[in-house]
Amino acid sequence: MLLILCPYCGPRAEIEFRCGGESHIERPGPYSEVDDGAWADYLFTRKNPKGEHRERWLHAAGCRQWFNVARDTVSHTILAVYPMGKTRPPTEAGT
Amino acid sequence: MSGWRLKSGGTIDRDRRVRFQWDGRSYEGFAGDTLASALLANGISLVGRSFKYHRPRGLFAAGLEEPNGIVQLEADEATIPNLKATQIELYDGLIATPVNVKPSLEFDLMAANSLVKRFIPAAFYYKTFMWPGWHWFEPSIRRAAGLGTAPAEPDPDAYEHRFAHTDILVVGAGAAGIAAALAAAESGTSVMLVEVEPELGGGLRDEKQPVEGQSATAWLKKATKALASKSNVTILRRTMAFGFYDHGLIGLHERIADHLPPDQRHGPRQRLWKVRCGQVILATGAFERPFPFARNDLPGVMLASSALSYLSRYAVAPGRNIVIATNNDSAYTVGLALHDAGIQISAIIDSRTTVGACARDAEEKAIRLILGAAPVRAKGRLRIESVSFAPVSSTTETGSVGCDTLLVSGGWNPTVHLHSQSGACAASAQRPSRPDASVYGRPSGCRRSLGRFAE
Repeated sequence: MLLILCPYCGPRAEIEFRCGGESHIERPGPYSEVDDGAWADYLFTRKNPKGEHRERWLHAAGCRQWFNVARDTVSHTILAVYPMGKTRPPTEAGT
Repeated sequence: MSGWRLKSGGTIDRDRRVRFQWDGRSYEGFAGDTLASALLANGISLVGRSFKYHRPRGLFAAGLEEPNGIVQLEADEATIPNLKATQIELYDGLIATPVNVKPSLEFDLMAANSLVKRFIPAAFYYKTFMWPGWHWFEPSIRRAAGLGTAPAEPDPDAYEHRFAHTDILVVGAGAAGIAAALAAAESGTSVMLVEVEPELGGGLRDEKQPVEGQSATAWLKKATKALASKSNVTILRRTMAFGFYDHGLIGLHERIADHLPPDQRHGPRQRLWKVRCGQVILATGAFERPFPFARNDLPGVMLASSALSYLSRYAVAPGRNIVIATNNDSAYTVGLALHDAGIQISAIIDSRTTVGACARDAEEKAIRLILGAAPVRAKGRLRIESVSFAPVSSTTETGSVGCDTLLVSGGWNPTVHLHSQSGACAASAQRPSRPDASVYGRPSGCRRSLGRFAE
């Protein structure tokens, strides 16, 4: 079970959180110019990397705040935690 | 002939007799015994039957690694199936029965399976009993195989769940674990020391080799006292670390009241711990390996180190006429200890042709040495009566030697389960995969663990 550093509450057990999937997915637009392929990509296509993954987490059983996590999917090491809306800061693995 | 209790020795309390029932008959042991040691002391060598062919099985080990001594504890709603006799501490009024034997342990009708074993290979019944329908045959087949019986009533006991945090968690309280806990406690951090047995010490409880210039017992006593006096050290006995999860989370299973008679149990019987640790130190020791040979599952075949545990903890001898089969030096220590306790060692069969100082010690005690040979077949019906051996090299002849107990030692396997679960490779035990784990003692490939820890 992961130990996640909530930026508002501090380190808490994974059981208190909800994972919201991949971060930094931008909605394409304007609507009239987006073809079906780009919509399908936006709605359904997700990365499944072996290594660093950026994902959104919700501290559901705590402060109820969303934030971003950079996590290594192999070792489960949490590389960085940063607020929503921030651009991706570089980590040591650097993607 | 089978096991018996020595007149003196052991760490049992001989002033407190404990009555218990095994297979419907009443026996007596001492406080401090396990069910296994008490059975052995009462001369019981047959404790179970194998899963399918119902072959006779006896006690093979003295602790967690026991494969054969699987029993049903207590009766009615409090019954627990498939517990290891070596891990059940004896209490007054304990009731245990063998699992899946009909009509009795000594005369098991299903043992007839063994006679036709050539014709019932693995998965035979799944293919044969398909017509007209598997469900016609399934109940009787399921009854024939399998182990204990699950209780039909709700569990009357209470259980508890607890979270904890600690800076350092040490798994295993052998020499390496105790030394690690002591060193960690010096720096003032919070330390948890977890031991599956009711007593600290691990191998130190059996071995008589000196540690840091004093006897193992004296060192252990001093170290235990030092640990108990420190307010930042928590010692959990009868507790098994069963899982090493992400980010330093360890699962522990504590048996709080299992060793007490049912009427003296208050509060929860067992506790599940989820401990988040800054650093995990795995000092889980090693298990002895058995030898492969025909009928090595006969009652009377036992691990050499386990025989030493029975002798030094419970003053129980596993037999009266013992043969040892080994490929390493550690079994000689066992042989000499048994010999010093007045038990006959008929021979030591060693697969090596040149053996060091330990062989000279054995020869001085007039123990017959058979070098360059290995056991090939154990003979006997419900207990081993002789073992035949064959040469590994050309220097020895094929032969046979009579015995009522065969102790085997095929070397040592480090207990790497938690280490492997943490994602590390067993072959490189000195290099843990994660920054929050480290390995000491036997699993790190070090035999004299204290020397390494002093670094």
